[in-house]
Amino acid sequence: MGLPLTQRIKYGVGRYLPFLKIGPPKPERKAVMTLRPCQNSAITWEKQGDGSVLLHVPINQNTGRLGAVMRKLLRPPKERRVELDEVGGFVWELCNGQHTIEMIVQKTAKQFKMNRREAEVSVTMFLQMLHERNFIGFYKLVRRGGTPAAKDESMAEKPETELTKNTSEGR
Amino acid sequence: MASQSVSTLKQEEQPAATVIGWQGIRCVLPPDWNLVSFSLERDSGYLRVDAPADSALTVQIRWLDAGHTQEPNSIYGYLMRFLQKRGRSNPRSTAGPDLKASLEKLLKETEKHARKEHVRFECHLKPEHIEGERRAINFSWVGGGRGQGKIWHCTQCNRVVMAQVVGLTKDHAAIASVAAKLFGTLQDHSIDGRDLWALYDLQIEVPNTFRLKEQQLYSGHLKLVFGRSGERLVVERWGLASTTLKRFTLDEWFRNQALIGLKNRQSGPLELPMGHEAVFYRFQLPIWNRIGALKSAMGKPSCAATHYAGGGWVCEATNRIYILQLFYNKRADEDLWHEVASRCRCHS
Repeated sequence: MGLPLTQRIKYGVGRYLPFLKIGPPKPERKAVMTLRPCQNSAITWEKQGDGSVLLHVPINQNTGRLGAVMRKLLRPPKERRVELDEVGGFVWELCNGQHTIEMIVQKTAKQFKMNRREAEVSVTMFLQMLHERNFIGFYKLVRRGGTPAAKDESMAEKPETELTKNTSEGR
Repeated sequence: MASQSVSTLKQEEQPAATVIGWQGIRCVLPPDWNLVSFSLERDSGYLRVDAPADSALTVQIRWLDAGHTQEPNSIYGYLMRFLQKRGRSNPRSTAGPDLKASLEKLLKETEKHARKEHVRFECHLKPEHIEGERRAINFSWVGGGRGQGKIWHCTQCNRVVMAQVVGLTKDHAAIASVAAKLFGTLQDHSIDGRDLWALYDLQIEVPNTFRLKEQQLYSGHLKLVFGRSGERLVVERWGLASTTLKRFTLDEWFRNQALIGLKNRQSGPLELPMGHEAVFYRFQLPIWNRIGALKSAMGKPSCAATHYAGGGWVCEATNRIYILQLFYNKRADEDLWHEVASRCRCHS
């Protein structure tokens, strides 16, 4: 659901005039930690022997007539490859829509013997980076009535049809 | 309380408790608390330690050297200081700093915040009392949250320290429990001439003559740089050792991270008291490095660093790499590297 027009104008003004200090409210940390990251289904990936993960990201081919001509002439690759290291690969595997960010942080901290705070900073930054590149989207579990789920973990096992899907579009 | 020894402090620690050490201040807090805000100055500064994110509790510690006078910032200031020095010597007041006045100043600030939120502010001050070397006042306040704290003056280090646990109004029991733990373990000065620097699971004791010059606190990499006249001590802690050491040996890793060229230098293995084997280099600084060291010795060539000692080790239990590098003056302390390394608590 989009923001009302008045708020959109207000935040739009705040964006270009930062000294006015008006902007959309920052999401609460607690709410962010209950989001469930989910891989973009357009991306294929393979796990390598050393624990790293190789992502095959399709390149957008819809760039109009000029693009089609250029593509014929230059023959660019149809996908690009992104290699995630051992820690990145571990987090990527957990981005399957069943784990909340909080769960991923806990598992990463345990697996790599990291301080809880350090793991949280690293994982959230990494997920943010993946999201900016449209590699992942986020689920938010809500009840059918619209109120947040009372017990998040119990709903992880429920079928996808009961969840509100809120993923970013893949390339 | 203030005269508590290091050994007593260690005995009191729970295995998972968080130990915080910064600029001579040290305390033990419940598990998973983390340092979030700090100042670099030793004479006066602050420290904020937050509870894990699902709790709103926070510990604030401020300190001020009671004997510290501010540097004048104008010609008038310098003139006044000169005249005061020339004039009759002013006998130092034996009563010490006015704790009540400092506390009231702090509480006024808190009250201002409460007023902004249109809530009633109430504070309760207990009478001043003596606790060993300390003259202390306990206090608590409610309004726009809740706080329980203590302000004291330590005669040994001449510091005025104010520490409080702050939380939501409903967190009364939690605040009281954390405050009991905090005030039972909080120490305001170095012990046996060493300061404890403890943050994010790094715990190291450094001689109190060294001052913190730089810090870099990244996720997975902590770096603290200390200086003493022309000497420099660099402490680093890297996370994810298992991932790093898949591609490099410890020696290769250390050579890449060293602050000085180690080409054609031979390392010697060294057994550390914690049971780790370290790579270790020690040699006299080359002439061009000694010229650079003279510059940082600030006109005291006798204090300039003449030697380098550096080494690193892997702690498998915590999956971390520790690196210690020391640029030292041979006349000052030759075994300083070993002393600091042996007092680094990399695992429990």
